[in-house]
Amino acid sequence: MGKTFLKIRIIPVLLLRNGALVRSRKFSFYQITGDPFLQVERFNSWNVDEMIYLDISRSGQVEVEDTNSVIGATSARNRIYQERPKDLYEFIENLSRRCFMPLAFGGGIKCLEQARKILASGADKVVVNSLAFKTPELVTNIAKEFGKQCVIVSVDYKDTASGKEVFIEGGRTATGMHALDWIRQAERLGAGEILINSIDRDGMACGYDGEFYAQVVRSVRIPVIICGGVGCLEHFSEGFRQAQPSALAAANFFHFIEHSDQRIKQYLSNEGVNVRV
Amino acid sequence: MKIGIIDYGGGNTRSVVNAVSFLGKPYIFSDQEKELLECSHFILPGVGSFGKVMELLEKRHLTGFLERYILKEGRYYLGVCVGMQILMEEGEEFGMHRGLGWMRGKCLKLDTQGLFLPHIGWNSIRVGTDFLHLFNDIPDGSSFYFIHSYAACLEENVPVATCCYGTEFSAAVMKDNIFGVQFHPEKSQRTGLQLLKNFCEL
Repeated sequence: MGKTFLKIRIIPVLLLRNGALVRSRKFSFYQITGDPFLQVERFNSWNVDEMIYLDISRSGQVEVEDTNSVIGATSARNRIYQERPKDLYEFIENLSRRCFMPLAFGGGIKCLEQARKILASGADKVVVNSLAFKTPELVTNIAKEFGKQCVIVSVDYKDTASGKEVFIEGGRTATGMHALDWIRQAERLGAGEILINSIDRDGMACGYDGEFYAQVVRSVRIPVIICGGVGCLEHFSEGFRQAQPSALAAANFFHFIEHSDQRIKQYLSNEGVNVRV
Repeated sequence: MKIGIIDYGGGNTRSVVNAVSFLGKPYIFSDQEKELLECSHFILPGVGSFGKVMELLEKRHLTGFLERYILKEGRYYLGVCVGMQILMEEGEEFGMHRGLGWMRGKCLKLDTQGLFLPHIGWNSIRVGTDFLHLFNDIPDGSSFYFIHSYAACLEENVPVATCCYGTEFSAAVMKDNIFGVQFHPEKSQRTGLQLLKNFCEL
């Protein structure tokens, strides 16, 4: 994305599933990690750059395991919601009361009206994924109405016989489209940022898909947030060096290491990466 | 001391209210002159375009009110983002529009030398040594969250903080009791909260 003086953002992605925070592996195994509000307060006290909240609730059976092995989980266990919050907007309002950083919210957004309500409830950006793929004009409409800066198009892909193939609906539906083609199209539609995530690497702690992400970053003129596969501090600097993205995101990593945000930034800063310490 | 957060019917002004409330400062969020009358400090959250914000303020008869209490009586003002931009005499976003004109200058599109707009993200600033109060306990070179395409170009010599995105521009300005910040303190984590606290405690 050209030479800028902006700091490289470090972004925790929080997955909300039927009212609980979860970690995920390959989009199919989920483990409850805690109460969403407690986690927001924790990240807030960590002074993170930005936060992405994705509501991945869906009906149907999936493997879920409750656990105490993650930080903050003990006090959270009895506060975990059993169902999807009844009023999503009230939930976002509560989140934003504790959130003094840019907050992006997404998951299951189906129409402009929903995006409007999410923004009016206190989110700064909306994240669209399946919707953007199925009804591309909605990306344009959201961008026109609220500005490009508040539309993140999230792209999940798997390595298949046809290459880096886009999957939608939480990784369940193959689209037959190559991720680079879709990303270029998303930019034309009015996306303000791209969030790219590898389903194969999700929760596998094997590092970012750095070489591919370098291609993603080069193929658009909007900020790219890379996600998927971080397992240790070195993965952040590796991903940055390989892809030169605007932001480095991770989900699971933030749940299991106390003060991970400061540790990441200190580490990257020592490595010469321009981060906000 | 009471903070008047001006509700002019713009976009998401909730985050400024959240931040002031979090700081535990007494505040009121209103567009009613009789409610705002008792406030010692005013914050104008800037969401929208230059002309739109001016139009909404005028529709609510708030420009005259602000002039009376801030310019004449010397109560404190903090304009955030567009709230800083409208301190200028005019702004060129979506055509030329008249601003409050409390400072001499214009609000112009950033000349980024090819970097793309809007300027979104965390960027560090340099605070002039003559800039008082607002940046107390905030180290020079601190980062704030920006999101904008236009910025105030001052034509008078007042204390400023500067930021660079392709080119240098004014990230904050002060003139006696009047302050403006181009970034969003309410989205700038601890540093931003410290700045709002400094303003509320003036």
